[in-house]
Amino acid sequence: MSIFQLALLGGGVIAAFFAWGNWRAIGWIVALLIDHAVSVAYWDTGLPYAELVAGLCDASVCLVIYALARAEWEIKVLYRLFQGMVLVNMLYLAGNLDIAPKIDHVVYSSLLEVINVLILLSIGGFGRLERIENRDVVSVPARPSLYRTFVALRERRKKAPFWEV
Amino acid sequence: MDFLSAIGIKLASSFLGAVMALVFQPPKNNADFWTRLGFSILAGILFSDPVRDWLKWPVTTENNMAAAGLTALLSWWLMGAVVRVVGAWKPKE
Repeated sequence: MSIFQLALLGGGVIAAFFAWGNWRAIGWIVALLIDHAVSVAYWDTGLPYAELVAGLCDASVCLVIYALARAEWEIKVLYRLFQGMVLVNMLYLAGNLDIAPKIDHVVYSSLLEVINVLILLSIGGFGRLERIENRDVVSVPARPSLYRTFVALRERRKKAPFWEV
Repeated sequence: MDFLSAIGIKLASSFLGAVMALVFQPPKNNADFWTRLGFSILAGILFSDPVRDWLKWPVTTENNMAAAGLTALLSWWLMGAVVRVVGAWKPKE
């Protein structure tokens, strides 16, 4: 295991600690760790198009989130972050196929690590908020604020999956 | 490579390309999903060779897969755009 994988595992444990009791949030952490493990396992084989497999793993998690998300934060934050990882993988692949400008491997890896950290922060944070169930609407300030945004993101998801329309 | 293997590779790659595009642009309903999926897979199978030649890629299995996936991915968006344009030009009832 490399230092980056250990760091991700450690981050997952910390996020799970914060969201402990919120089993959906912990499920998303497990999904991220499985996604990462499969991507790294394929990368270590040395077979071609490892970034495509990584992108497909991220896309799979995206589709699971799309199907199972219940709260707005899962669609508006978590889904978008995994979408971002798919985009980074696709841009790196496009560079390697000479369709787009090449991206340096260090930049590519760093972007993915930053998004991983953001994912863990959002799962830990929103998971904890849901756990506390601080839904006292009376105390929410009337003017637009960051707190209102957080409260709104914990509402029930507004747009159903396309097969339920 | 025999014909069935080539079609199989293009079909699988087109499907994966459509899945990648779906992540960025989920369809509105079931009908939209099946229309776009069918269009993407068909486009991937039919047009991957011209796309590969246009990009000046050597003819290898990996490049055939990449061309089919890329064609399907772009076709998903193109189909969505066509439906929107047709919808805008349709006379309002």
